Order: sequence, then structure tokens, then C-alpha cells
Amino acid sequence: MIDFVAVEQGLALLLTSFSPWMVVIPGIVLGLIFGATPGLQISMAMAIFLPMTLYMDFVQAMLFLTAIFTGGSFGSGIPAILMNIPGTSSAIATAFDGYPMARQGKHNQALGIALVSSVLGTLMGYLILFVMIQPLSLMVLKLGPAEMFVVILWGMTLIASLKGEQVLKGLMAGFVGLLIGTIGFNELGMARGTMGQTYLLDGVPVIPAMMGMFAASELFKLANKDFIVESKASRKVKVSEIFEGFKMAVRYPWVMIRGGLIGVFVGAVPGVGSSVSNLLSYVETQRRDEDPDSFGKGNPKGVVASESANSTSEAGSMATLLALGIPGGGATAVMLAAFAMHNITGGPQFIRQQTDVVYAIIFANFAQVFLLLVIGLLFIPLLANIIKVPMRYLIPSVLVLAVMGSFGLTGNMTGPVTVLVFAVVGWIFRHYGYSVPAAVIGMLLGAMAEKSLLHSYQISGGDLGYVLERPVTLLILALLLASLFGKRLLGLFRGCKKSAGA
Amino acid sequence: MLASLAMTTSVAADDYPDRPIDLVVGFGTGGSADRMARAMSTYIAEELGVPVRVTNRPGAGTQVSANYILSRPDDGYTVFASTFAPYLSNTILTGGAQYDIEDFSFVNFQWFDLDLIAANKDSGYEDLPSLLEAIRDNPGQIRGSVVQGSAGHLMVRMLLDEAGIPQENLNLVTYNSGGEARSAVAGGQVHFTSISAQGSEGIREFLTPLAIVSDERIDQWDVPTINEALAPMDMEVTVLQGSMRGFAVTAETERQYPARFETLSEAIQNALARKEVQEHLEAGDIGGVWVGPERSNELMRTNYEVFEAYADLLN
Repeated sequence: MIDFVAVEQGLALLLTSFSPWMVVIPGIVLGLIFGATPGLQISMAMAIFLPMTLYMDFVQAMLFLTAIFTGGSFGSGIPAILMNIPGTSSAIATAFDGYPMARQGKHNQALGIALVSSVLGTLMGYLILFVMIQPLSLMVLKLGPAEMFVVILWGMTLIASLKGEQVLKGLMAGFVGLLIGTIGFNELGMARGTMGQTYLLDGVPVIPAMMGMFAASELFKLANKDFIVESKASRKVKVSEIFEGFKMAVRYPWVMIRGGLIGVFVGAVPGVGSSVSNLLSYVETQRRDEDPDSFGKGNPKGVVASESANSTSEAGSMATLLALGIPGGGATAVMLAAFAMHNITGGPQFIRQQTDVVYAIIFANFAQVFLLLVIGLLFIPLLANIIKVPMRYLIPSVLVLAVMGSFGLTGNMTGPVTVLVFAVVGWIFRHYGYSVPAAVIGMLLGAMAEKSLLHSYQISGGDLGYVLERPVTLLILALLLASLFGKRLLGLFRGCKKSAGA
Repeated sequence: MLASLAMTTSVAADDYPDRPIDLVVGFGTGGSADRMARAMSTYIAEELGVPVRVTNRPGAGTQVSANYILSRPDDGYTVFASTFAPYLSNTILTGGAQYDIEDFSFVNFQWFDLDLIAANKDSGYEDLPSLLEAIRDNPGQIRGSVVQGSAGHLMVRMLLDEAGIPQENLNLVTYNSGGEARSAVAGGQVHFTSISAQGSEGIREFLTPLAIVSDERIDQWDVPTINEALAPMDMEVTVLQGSMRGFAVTAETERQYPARFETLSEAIQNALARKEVQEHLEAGDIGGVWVGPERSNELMRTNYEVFEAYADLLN
């Protein structure tokens, strides 16, 4: 499993000169900035600074890019907590409990929790990568569309627990999201629901829609308030409270480990990645909790679950990239371009022949984690000052950011128009008590679920018996049913026993 | 040629280009077409003596950018950089685009991708005929992966058609990303794939290559050409180009300003003839051949006609 000669060589690559490390701190800071700005994406940061990696050697280039990755995965949680704006789809679940905490004046603790969960998550992810990069990548290859469908279905069960006021309204919101998610070309090359608009052929861009639904509608709601946090006393930025958050996060090791495991495995699957893993981790944490109703109202466990999963996803997607040369998402696709620039092809051969380089990348990430902790601590007080900004300045500036960022995201007016349209949609949803998160998850996972279901249909030629050939599908399905109805079944079982004994 | 010379006299006093040129890319940043456009922009600017601005207008499989190009003045100051085959053909055939291939004039295709047909190593298929026979003899048992609407997708459909095998015999999975289609074959989810050879090196160990869709064998993959592989079955198919990337302007630009079109194509030709340009392109793994306007337009038309003929098979 672990090649100790290569371990030494990998360490030598990193420790014999200082030059590889020169790029790590700027990389983390860039990641933080791009992650924390609504509408700017980690992959954008990488694409913009990619030409710089031409002047670096391969190890240094990878340190730089993974530093952006690491910084970004924590950075995107910051606006999710402070303003209810998930910077990327991987931070949706962070907003569920992070933002309520901030409204209660616990923003310092929430950010502290997010930072520690990100740090420990990244560490855990790369540890798993160090021990089992090859088996992990082979496991991913064994996952077919049927398994994917069941996993995504699992994520979709979250809609039911995000019901808002009434179950029916929650389901309806989720259903509207699903429908919106089907707009555009599907994997059969058929265009649907575009009403003849060329701009809708690629579907509704999810991130601008998400920013509109979450952020803009939130800001409309707060427009008649003076500040995000009501009481002046709670608006302080206290480092002591951030440390309190550190302790809170460490209090839930199981939540973190579960989030980490979900993150690595789901994150390694191409095309699914961190946007699903944070939701899965959240839904499982909530379901296993003694008091599931406390989630969504500022339960620190929710933040731990989401942040640990989305940070571990980084290692998962790196596994697929290094071991197979297959990019799982935007960020790793940019890294693949860096591979090409240095004449390197990811794959089993690369891992065998250049184990020292792979290990060097992994070890460097262990060190990056501690740098993230320090830089994050310096950054949090700076960013947490957002809540001191009066609403009348905050609203227009955040809206401008979101609109500009979404323009950068789609490259044309589709993005800004989407933000504005969905801001109105989100506001209407809120006003009538329909759950916005349920709709967003429907939108995000609906298209993915449809895709994997379609592929399952194609691969089996429409034969339902295919599922019986896939033991893993059946296993995940059994786990899903157990997690949904397990308690009830146990209760029924015990009830029977009791009545039999009486 | 003579006609165009006669026409140039009327616009001989034209000092094109006298302001910056817009190079519009049909995809987002970081993709192949984008990398090609950005690598070439510096050199085209040097040849023409004016700055070249690269902007991305991604969306709807290049339909957004194509519409934008057509909406600009036909004066040679807006140039289209894209992966024209198969994307432009598909926007017309399946994307409901309002324009036609004839509305564009292709200056040069400089980057050609070849498709590879390969089986999963453990699937037991060692050559193309045995795979085709298996599809013929076991309806609904053999699975393949392709990228929806790609040349590789069309190739599979053409092969079955040519061999007289019912299309529904094969369970073909259509992905929207090459990465997912490659994962599927590498992990043995499907028996074979038909996909761009470039980008498949990472999963080489999981594959038995069966054929390369090209007129000649290539160095990177030790494998017969498609028609060599099919020879035992007494079959031959049209060799369909994988992807073709390059530069184009509106047809109207060439009609109104033939001299400007000439200037632009000379600039690209001269840039590609330079040694340091070739070295730069090579470093980024970017194609850089000169085939010229005539051949490019011909290639595009052929590509479009083949896609049109098989359009009904593509879903």
C-alpha cells in the first residue's frame, strides 16, 4: 500500500528547497478570496492563474493549485454562514445551520466550526488518499450509473426534511426545483422546456439560480432591518468565540468522520463530487440525531457535517485525477490542463512511476492544512466584519457582486438575468412559506438523478433485471431504506415484542 | 482566383486591419478551443500588427457564439474560434439553430482529433470484427459508451448500419462528458468505447485498443486503422474526422471583402509557419497544421453531410 522509499523521495522533493512552498500561501489566500466572493468559483481562480504554472516545475504547480483548492473549500463556507449565500454548490448545507447561527449572533463560533471542520476534513481526505489512492480509484471505476442513481436519490431525500412550514409545501418546492432542473439538453441530446430560447439550451445555470434564490431573496427579506444581527452586542468579532467554535467542532468527532468518509467516496466520483457529498453528510447527521428538528435552526453539527464533507471531497477528486487522469469537476479539469503543460498524464502508470511526486503532493497538503488554519484565523475577523455593515450598503453591494460574478460564470447575460429572475422567485417562495433550499436541491440533484437513471436505462437496454446484477446498488438501496424507515421498523418490531410479552 | 483578383481592385485602398480584432471563442475558458485561440492570438496579432482580443461566448454547444458572430458587422474584425466539427453541425441538426453551414467561411482548421475505438481489457474482445459479431449475435448484451452527438457516437452507429446489425442490439450509453464515458469503459461498466484518442492515455491500462478512426496509423496508439480492422469483414466505412478546431469568419465577410479574408488567412498561415509558434503549440499539446480555406470548407461540408445523413441515428 505505502511505498516507503517513495515516501522518503517525496519528502526530499518538498524539504530540500524552499521554492515549492513559495506558492502555497498565495494559493490559499487566492482560494479564500475566490471562494468567499459570491459568484467567483475556485475553478475560475485556477483558470486565471494557470498560465503562471508554466514557469513552475510540476510539483510546485500542483502545490499552487491544490492550495487554491484547499483555501476555496473553506472560503465558500464564509458567505454561506454570514449572508446565507453559498459561494458554490458545495456549501449549500453549510448555510442551513451556519446562517441561523450568525443571525443569533454566533457567527464567530460558526466560522470557527467551519474552519476546524475544513482543516480536519482536508487532513482526513489526504490521509485516506495516502493510504489507498489506487484502491479508491478502482472502487470509483466500479460504480456504474445504477449506483449513482441510488446515491443521488439518497441526497434527494433531504428535500423531505427541509419541509419548512408544511410537508406538502416542501415537496411541492422540491418538485418545482426538479422541473427547473430538467430544462435544456439532456444526455440524449434532446432540448426541453427552452421555449425557443438559445440561452436556455444548457439549462438554468445552477449557481446563479442558487445565488438568486438564497441570497437575493434573503436580502429582500432583511431590507427593512438595519443589520444582519439585531443586537449591537452580538455584532462583535471575538477571537475567543472563534476558538470556542474550534472546541464545538471537535466535540462531534463522529459527525466529522462520517462527513469525511462520505466526502472522499462521493467526491471521487466524476460529475457528482462535493455538491452532493455535503448534502448527504448533512442528511445523515440530521437523521441520526436525537433531535432532528433542531437542525436548520442553528445546530452546530450541521455546519460540521457539511464542511467536513466538502473539504474531504477535494482529496476524493484528486484521487480520480491522479490515478485515472479523469477530471471529476471544474477544478480538476483545470488541473488536467496543468498536467498537459508539464507533459504528464495521470493514470496508474503515473502513480507507479512517479510515486514520489504523488506523495509529495499529498504531504504538501498535510502542511497546507496548518497554513489554512493560520491564514483562516487571520481572515475570519476581517470577513466577519461584514455583519457590521448596515443593510442599506450591504444589499446593493452583495447584489452587484452576485450579478458580476454570475456574468463571469456564464460568460454572457444569462447569468445576471438568472440571478435576478430567481431572486424574485425565491422571494415569492419565501413569502408564501415554500422551502427555498428544497427547491434548490431539487434543481441541483434533479438533473443528476435524471442523467444517471437515463444511463441505467441505456446500459441495461431497459431490462430491470440489471439491478439484480449490481450487488452494490442493492446494498446502497437497503442502507437508504434502513436510514429512512429503520427507526420505525425497529419501533414496530419492539412494539410487537412488547404486546406479545404483555 | 481571377474573379477574386478582379474584385480586390475595388477595395485596394483598404488598409485592413487598422483596429483591434475580436477573436470569439465558442467555449468557456480552459477548454481545448480556448487554449488554441489564446495561444494563437499573440502570433496573429504580431502578423497583422493590431491587438487581438480573445473573448469567450460559451453556451448551447457553440450556438450562442455562432449567433453572435453572425450578428456582428461582416468586416473581418470579428473572427470565430471554435471546435467546428461536430459542434457547429450539431447546433444546426439537433439544436434548432437558424443559420446554415454555408453562412460561415472557414479560414483554416489547425487541430484535428482522432477517435479511438477500444474495448475494456477484461471484456475479451481483441479485435473489431469479433466485437461487431458479438453485438450481432447477442442482442441487448453488449454495452458501449460514447459522448452524445460526437463523431465517435456517429461512428458506432455507422459501423452497425454498415454491418447490417440492428441498432437496438447494442446498449449504447450516451454521456455528456468524455471523463464519464472513459470511466465507464475503464471500470468495465461497458464493454467498449468510441471516443477521442487524446485524453484516453490515462486509462490506457484498462483498454484493448481495437481501431483508430484515421486514414493512417499513428504513433501514440499501436492499433490498425478503422478500415484495416474491418478488412476481414469485407467492410469499409467513411473515415469521420473526430474534432476539427480552427478559425472562421462569416461567409458574407469573404464575399464583401475578399482581400481582407486573404490578409487574415495569410496571417494565420504565416504564424503557423514560424518555428517558435510550432514549439509553443507543441508544448501545450495543441494542433497547428495549415490546410487552408478551400480544404477547410470542403472538410466541414463533408462532415456536415455525414452527420446529416445519420442525424436520425444520433439519439
